[in-house]
Amino acid sequence: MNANAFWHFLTLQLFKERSKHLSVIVISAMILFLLSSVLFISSSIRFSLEETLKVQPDFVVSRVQGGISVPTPMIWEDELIDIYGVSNVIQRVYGRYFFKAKERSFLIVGVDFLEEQSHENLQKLIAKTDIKAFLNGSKMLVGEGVKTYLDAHFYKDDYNFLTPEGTFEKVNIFKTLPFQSNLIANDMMVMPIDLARKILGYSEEEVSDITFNVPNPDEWDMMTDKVSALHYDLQVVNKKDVQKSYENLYNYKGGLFLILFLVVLSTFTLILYQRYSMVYSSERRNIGLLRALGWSINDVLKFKFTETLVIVFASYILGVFFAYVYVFVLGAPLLKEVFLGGQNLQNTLTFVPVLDFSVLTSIFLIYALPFIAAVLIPVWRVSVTEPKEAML
Amino acid sequence: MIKPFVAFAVLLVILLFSMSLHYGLFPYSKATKTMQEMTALTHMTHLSLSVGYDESVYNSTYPEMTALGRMDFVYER
Amino acid sequence: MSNKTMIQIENLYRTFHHAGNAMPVLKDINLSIGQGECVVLKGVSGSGKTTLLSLIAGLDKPSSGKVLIEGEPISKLPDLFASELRAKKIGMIFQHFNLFEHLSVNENVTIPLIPSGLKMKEIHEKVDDALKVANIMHKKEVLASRLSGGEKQRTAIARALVASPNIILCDEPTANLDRDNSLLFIEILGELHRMGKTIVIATHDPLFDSLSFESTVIPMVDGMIG
Ligand SMILES: Nc1ncnc2c1ncn2[C@@H]1O[C@H](COP(=O)(O)OP(=O)(O)O)[C@@H](O)[C@H]1O
Ligand SMILES: [Mg+2]
Repeated sequence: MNANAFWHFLTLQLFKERSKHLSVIVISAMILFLLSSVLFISSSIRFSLEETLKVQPDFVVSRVQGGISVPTPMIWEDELIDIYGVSNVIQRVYGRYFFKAKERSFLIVGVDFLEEQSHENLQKLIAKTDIKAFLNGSKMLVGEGVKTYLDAHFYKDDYNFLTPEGTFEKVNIFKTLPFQSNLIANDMMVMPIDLARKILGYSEEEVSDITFNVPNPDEWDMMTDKVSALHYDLQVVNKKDVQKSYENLYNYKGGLFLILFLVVLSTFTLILYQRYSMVYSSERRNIGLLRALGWSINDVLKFKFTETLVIVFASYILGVFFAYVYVFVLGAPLLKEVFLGGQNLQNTLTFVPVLDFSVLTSIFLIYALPFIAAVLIPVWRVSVTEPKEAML
Repeated sequence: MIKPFVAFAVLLVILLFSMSLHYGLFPYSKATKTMQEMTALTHMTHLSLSVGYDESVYNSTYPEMTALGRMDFVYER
Repeated sequence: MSNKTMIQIENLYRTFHHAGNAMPVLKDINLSIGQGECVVLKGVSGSGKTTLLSLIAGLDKPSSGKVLIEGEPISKLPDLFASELRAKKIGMIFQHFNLFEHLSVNENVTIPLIPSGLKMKEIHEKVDDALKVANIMHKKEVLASRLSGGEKQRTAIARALVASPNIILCDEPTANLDRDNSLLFIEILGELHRMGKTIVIATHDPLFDSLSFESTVIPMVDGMIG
């Protein structure tokens, strides 16, 4: 078969029957769009989080009593420092603060600005920050979502926190955290650690948890055992567990994904069914006619296979392209809410483009194989029977 | 190949090309650097989920850990 | 005429099975058609003409007996060879024209040549030649769905001719044509006859009883020829 004549007729046939193929391409592209969007978003979030693993502390230690986290005593810090191989022991104070009137919550994070390192980190994050001005009086840095929300509720410059003692603590909004960190900082309020303590109700000797590093990863298992043995109510988590949790990210929304997947599958089955029955009614006659005009079974199969392949590729490229634009250029409006939730604060994050080629390939196979099979099997069954219908 | 189809194929190639271009030119280092600096400042990576889950039983920062039940005094559930 | 045998039919039987009942449609057909001959199979509807033509074209398999096309047993060949034989030696014209309605006249006529391995340029040349013979050149770019019945049938003739086969099989070619178009069709058939094509026509149209060119009328009754 001359490739030129073959392609000429193939494309001619596709083009002349475009209205018939268009619906199939549009529906397939939409399914692929949905599937790819979901996978793009989750792999992008996972990528961004995993990138931060490099700078996350290796271990987190906290106190758990009766299955409930309780404030961790600060003296544990000294016990940890004494362990050989442990470095960079840092206390953390953080917690959710509920904006009770509207059922919204912020994450208050205390940072120890007595540490020289914290100044440097802040300077890096927000260039030309006047640290002295920041530490002078009660001030905080807020995430973009928090800023937008407070603005909308007339807290333009400051916010009055209600402390557990029943007193009010007025904190000025110093600056907004950079939008590139919205994935983790959107609902954050970063403030000096003592201020955070006061608002969250921790006493002088209490922290939320304590983190430390163990530079040699080979010692991590041993260290976990050693640290766990310090106190009966001590819980320790290391970075490997965190990494694992990132890998499983969104599994907890399995129900939702399951529904999405079922919708996709059933739509797909519908298309396949449509294709299948199409072959049996009108195509049956066309195939018989082609055979009567001297086409062999092989010619017909090759033609139909290539035709299907063109449709499959076209829908795949369209679906993936629009998913890419939707997620990485437009920021996945609507679908984002499925992933990040839309109940608390509006998050205007941009997703970092991540194309996982193994995922793209598996999407293609999951979609293309049943599609091609559903078209070719009936075509094959029609082609091999004697095409007497063409005569009638 | 007939002309309208060539045009369609060219369109698909342009789509793929523009996608690769965007992918190739995206400022990855800036995006990841800011995230890392944020993490370095707070010593934590907390996914800003905006779901209405019960924070007192679920710790979004460390799913393995139990959550801090500190806020019940401000907002009674 | 040359005495070379183009179509040889020997002891041909075709029986259909319907709900356990055997329905013999063709019974012991023996027929030999030489090169350049024009044979009119004449019979009422249901006498088995279409079945016989599809067996000659290798589109159906005989229950017993055989069909030889230029000495080759088309009904016994594997598909690849049977198809090649059909593509090279047999052109078909149908009662319902059987065109691809969404394609133009000239696109319809290219179809038999697509698997041939010819270049697009050669295909176009052959298509133009066939369109001229079938007297439909002036509608070359018109969609098949826009044609009148006569124009559709002439397009079908061009399509049957395009691969220059020696055998043309026509199944009730004038059944859907008015008288004028039927006569025009017969005129073109005469042209093909002069070109030396072997022609087999299945019909019950009385117009074929007295053709202006040499032809043999073979009556067909209840699946038997006499
Ligand atoms: N596929 C088939 N299955 C069963 N019976 C058939 C089939 N094809 C044709 N027949 C029967 O064979 C007989 C001859 O049909 P056909 O060859 O179409 O006759 P004609 O073309 O002379 O009108 C008819 O009675 C028809 O019902
Ligand atoms: Mg008939």
